[in-house]
Amino acid sequence: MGFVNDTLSKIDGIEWYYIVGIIIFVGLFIGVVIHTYTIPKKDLIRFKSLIFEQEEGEKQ
Amino acid sequence: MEVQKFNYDNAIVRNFILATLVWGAVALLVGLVVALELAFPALNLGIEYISFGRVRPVHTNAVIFAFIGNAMFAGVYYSLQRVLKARLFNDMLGKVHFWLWQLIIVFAAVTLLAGFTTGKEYAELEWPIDLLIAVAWLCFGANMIGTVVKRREKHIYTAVWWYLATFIGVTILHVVNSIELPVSFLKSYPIYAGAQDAVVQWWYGHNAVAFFLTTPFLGLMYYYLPKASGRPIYSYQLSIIHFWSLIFLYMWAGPHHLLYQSLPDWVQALGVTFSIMLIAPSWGGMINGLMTLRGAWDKVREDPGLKFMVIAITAYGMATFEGPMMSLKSVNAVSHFTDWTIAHTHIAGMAWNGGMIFGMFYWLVPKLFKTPLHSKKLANTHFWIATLGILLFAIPLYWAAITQWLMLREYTPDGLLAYPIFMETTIRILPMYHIRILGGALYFTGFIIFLVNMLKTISAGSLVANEPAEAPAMVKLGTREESGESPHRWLERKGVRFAILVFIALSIGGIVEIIPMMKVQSNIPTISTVTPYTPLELTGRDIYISNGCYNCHSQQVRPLRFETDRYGEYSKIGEFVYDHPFQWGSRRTGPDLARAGYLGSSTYKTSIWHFNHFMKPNSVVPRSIMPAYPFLVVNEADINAVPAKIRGMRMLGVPYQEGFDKQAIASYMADAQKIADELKLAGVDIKPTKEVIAVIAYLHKLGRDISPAGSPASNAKQ
Repeated sequence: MGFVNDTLSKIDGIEWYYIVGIIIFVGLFIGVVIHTYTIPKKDLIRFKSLIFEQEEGEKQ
Repeated sequence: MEVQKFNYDNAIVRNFILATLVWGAVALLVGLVVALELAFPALNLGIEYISFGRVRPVHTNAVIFAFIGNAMFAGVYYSLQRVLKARLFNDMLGKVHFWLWQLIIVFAAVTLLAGFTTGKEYAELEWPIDLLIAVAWLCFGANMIGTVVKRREKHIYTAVWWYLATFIGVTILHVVNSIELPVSFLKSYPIYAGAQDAVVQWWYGHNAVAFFLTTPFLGLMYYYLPKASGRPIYSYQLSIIHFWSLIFLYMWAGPHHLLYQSLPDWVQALGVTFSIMLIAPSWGGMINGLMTLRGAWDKVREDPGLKFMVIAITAYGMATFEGPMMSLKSVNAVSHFTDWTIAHTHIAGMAWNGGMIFGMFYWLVPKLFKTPLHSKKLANTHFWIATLGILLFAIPLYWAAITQWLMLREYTPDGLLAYPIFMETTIRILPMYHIRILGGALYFTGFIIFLVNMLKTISAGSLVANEPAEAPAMVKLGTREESGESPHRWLERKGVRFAILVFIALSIGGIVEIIPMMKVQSNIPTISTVTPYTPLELTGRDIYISNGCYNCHSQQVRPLRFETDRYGEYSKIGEFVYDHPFQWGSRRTGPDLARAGYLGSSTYKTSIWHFNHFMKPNSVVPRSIMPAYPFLVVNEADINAVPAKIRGMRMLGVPYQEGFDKQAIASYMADAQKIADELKLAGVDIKPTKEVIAVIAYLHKLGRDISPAGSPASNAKQ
């Protein structure tokens, strides 16, 4: 908390905020991309088709 | 496997559909009225309750929260039950949500027309209504999360992620932006001031667009587009990538509404950087939507609902490319404070949100009422009329924006402003305003056709309020280790944990922007000559806000040559430290007023000029389109409220002396008498307690504190 308070009490280094933001985003992005490309194809096909399954449970 | 029987709640969907139809007609009609009032100011009739400044927020709030909001709830409640294979969590929550939301809309319209407003765009509603919104929104969220928890389908379909992000995003935005100090039943001041208030407000304003007008509609797109076209979404992977990217990036982009304004450079740079990055996830959504129609374009030819969805997704792509471009400083210098922004928002509102709503309803209503659409021909007519209306609405406004901007920055060979009188530039674009009315009228006509088609379809069909359904019971999978799932897939079936992660992703951008603005003193350099508003000026400011003057006048001189030459010194952060709320505005139909009290500025005018201007604007500014405000001369200012306001301001940190609230009315009367005497010398006999006196005092305060030392304005302050 001391570090956070110290960082937020002065403007020094604030130019790094968006650089840090972009780095966080790039990390998140890479993680999500890796995740999505490791989903088995059969699962993806099932997820995509979920909304068509028996009209989502309506009695035929 | 056990198959469970249950019922879908269709009654709540029907209720929100009917509310959408009613409020849609009202919202668009009010929009037409404000467009007419803008072009033909006589239509304001000199009546405060229907003046442009008060009606315009009714239009924006009605479109966003009444028309689009009700349609969103209808679409979410229908699809949520189907993809989760469960009835809504609690019927009563749904009913409370529905009726409270309609009550809020009525209260909003009445209070805004009566002049009760916070003065913050798209967040104008006063604190008691803010509380009601919070309750209604929590009912919606609790119902949604409860349904996710009791669902029968293990995987949470992508549409529901967007709905969850909508709930969490709007909750964060509404709570943070609505922290205000009530000083009476329908009057409050935000706890933030000046630049801080601006950052919070546009963080809210931009993300209200994101989380009320975009994320829920992307969710609806992921459900209704595949359903209407009969094809699954193009790429489920892309839906995951663009979901996380979009919700993370959006929250950082708000400050692009404040470029070249009194805000630290680092905040502006953050806004620009993340706005540009937003193109990628936004276009991910657009591409996923359009590519879903691969092999189904023949259906688009036949199905008016699909046509609307195609228009909607195309407009979404256009608007999400245009938005980041408008956040580039060089483009923003043109687009901000001109009609470009109005055109941009209407492309998004009319084509993206409107298109998705119409497309969704043309599929949903016949399905819900188990009958064919009354008339496909009428629906096609609606499509073409609405499309033409959008074009006739937006193109003239782009034209108007560029024309006005070119005129404002035009110099003579001698280096003087070619059009020093602001009104010259407004008059030049009036023909575009007339064409815009035609565009709006066409869009409204299309809506009436849609309304008739919907009502005929509804009356021909019958609703099964509790629709029987069945689905296998959910299999308990246990922990991630037990089920052997990857982290994200495990997360995708853990609704609450998923929601917490969404909350974290959403919070980062807001925290990084807002907390340093509050904590770091050097972000807000103060100016020693800037003093708090006197009781008279504060009252005048409240009347200014109440009448929605910020809808046409900004209070922010940007450091651009053609602005400083026209108005005077550019605006500094320290000038606004006592402004609860800030009033920088977003559109200039009239001139900027930040230097209305700065002697030497073209916008400085005498008291008698202001008096005559309020009574009959054309008498002092030929061909002015500002409506007359004769009621300011008739209405008595609420002087008795002044002590409470001073106490409130003191609580917010404005340095009035202790006990000043007890002297406030005497101070008010003494200052008001001076202006009344000044007017008397000019031949106008008026009581010092009238509203117009307070507004004149407020206008003479604007920029006065930074007038050059020794100027008459500065001396008058001593």
